[in-house]
Amino acid sequence: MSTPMNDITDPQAAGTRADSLAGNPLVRVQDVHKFFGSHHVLCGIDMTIREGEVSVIIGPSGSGKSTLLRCVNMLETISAGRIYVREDLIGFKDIKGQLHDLTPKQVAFQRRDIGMVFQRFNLFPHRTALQNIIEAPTQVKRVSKASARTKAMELLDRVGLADHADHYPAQLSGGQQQRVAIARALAMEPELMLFDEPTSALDPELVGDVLNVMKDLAKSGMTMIVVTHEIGFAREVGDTLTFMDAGVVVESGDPRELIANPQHARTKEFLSRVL
Amino acid sequence: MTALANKRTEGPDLIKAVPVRHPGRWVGGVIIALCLFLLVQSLVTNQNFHWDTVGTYLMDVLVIQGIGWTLLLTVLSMVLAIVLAIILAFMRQSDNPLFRYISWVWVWFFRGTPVYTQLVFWGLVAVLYPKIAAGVPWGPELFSFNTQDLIRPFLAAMLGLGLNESAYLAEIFRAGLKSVDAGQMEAAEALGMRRSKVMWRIILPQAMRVIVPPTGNETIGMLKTTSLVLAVPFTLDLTFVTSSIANRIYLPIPLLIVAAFWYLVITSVLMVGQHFIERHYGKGVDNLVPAPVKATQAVTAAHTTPEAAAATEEGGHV
Repeated sequence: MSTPMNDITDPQAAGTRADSLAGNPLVRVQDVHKFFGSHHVLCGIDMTIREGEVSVIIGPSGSGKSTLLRCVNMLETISAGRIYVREDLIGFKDIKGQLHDLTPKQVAFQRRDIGMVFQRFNLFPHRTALQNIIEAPTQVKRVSKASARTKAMELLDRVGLADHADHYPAQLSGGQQQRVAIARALAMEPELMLFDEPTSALDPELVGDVLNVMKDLAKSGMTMIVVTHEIGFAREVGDTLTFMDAGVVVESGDPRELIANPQHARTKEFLSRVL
Repeated sequence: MTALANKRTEGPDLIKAVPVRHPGRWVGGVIIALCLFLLVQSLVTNQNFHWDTVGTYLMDVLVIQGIGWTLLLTVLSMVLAIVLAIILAFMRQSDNPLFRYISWVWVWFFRGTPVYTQLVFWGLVAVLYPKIAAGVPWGPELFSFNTQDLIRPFLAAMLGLGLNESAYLAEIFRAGLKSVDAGQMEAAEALGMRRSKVMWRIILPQAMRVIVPPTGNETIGMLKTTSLVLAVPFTLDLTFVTSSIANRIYLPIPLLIVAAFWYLVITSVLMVGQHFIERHYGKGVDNLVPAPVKATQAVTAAHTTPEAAAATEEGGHV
């Protein structure tokens, strides 16, 4: 605990960031398909996210970008293909080439290392900010209440809300709620963070605070997959930018290059609308 | 900026408008007061109420015992019903189709037959099964006992009332669980929590906000349904005791008043209890002040200029 992996205030981390990008693949998405009934939402997605990479996914609504994100931690089950986080096949067990569903216990175990932040925060309204953060460490990892509380206060301090620990979600602004939600996800010390349009439900003036927290998190070396409409965030913080439309990856590459010089007509059209 | 600062410091002329008059309310009030007076007068002067008899039996030892049995029956039946209802509601939401089916059939049966019929049935169970034995089916018997000794009238009454109520409560609990936003389950599951734990720690406490008011209703209903236990027959509850006294002294009206009085008292106490339970489960949602402002912060705010106060408001510390 002396050097927390996700210490977002560590200035050293920023220097080592470029090196870590040459790191091992953390998430491998291989030819993933997803059907909702007869609706083909994801049509063969391939993607690799390396350790420490900030991977930003953009695209029009209905393009499948949120569904893809939800597949990574099994909030949706994929219909075909494979998703690996580290060496673990997500959602299934491969026994001699035959896939078996994971038991609920195994699914819960896989999710421990994957943090998720939702568009609508989804804080537990009957619990204070602090209680929200210590819930999973104490209940899932069986961390003692005292040490979970210490850790939670550190996290609240990092997201700038130490003096709001005893507030209920209803007493916090949207931006504050989302920062508590990020702290809640970080309390499980995940190796991967998923952000599902984290700023889309916020008033414009509150977006900046949340993005700043995410920037600091990226600097600390956290691996992040971010579905967003914040092109500025993608340009400034993203290591890769992926544009999705109608369930396929249209193009992917360095965010600055892709935004300045999109190759596909569809990408050009989308960017011209959101920029 | 100075103009803005002035706006915050200068006291405005507060509006002092003349409120709309409501003469109709005064007229209505007088009419209602008159009616109440006439009612009270008739209650006092009409000898047929036998208020002296009401006074004699209000604190009668049989009546007080009857209250005790009625309360005990209400509380135990409700506890049994609530425990069963939680299990039934969770089963109904389960992935396991067998659980869903069993829960549905249970509600269908116990809600679909009259509670009176069920009470008579539980009273007669000893006729159906005179002996209950535990052992290997078609094999040796481990132990057994006479049903007549086991299912005493009180137990029969409690089972009858509790099982019937569980079916109604199960639907109330199901509605409560459904009222919680699906995002809560997703968020908790994404943190690695098991489904059963999420239900118990995240979903149910939030559902209680919706569950408590109709359950309070049901508890008060149960209090009065206990008057049906003479069907078992269980003969110690408030209604049976008061009506048997009435039959003995040939004065039904004063003893009806005694019973009604005590039912009202118990209902009032239950309503107070419900208020506190509602307040507990409304934590974080109902009656929230905007934010708990610390006294020190309020004092500091009062002594700073508006500009400084504005700078330290929300988001200033990031």
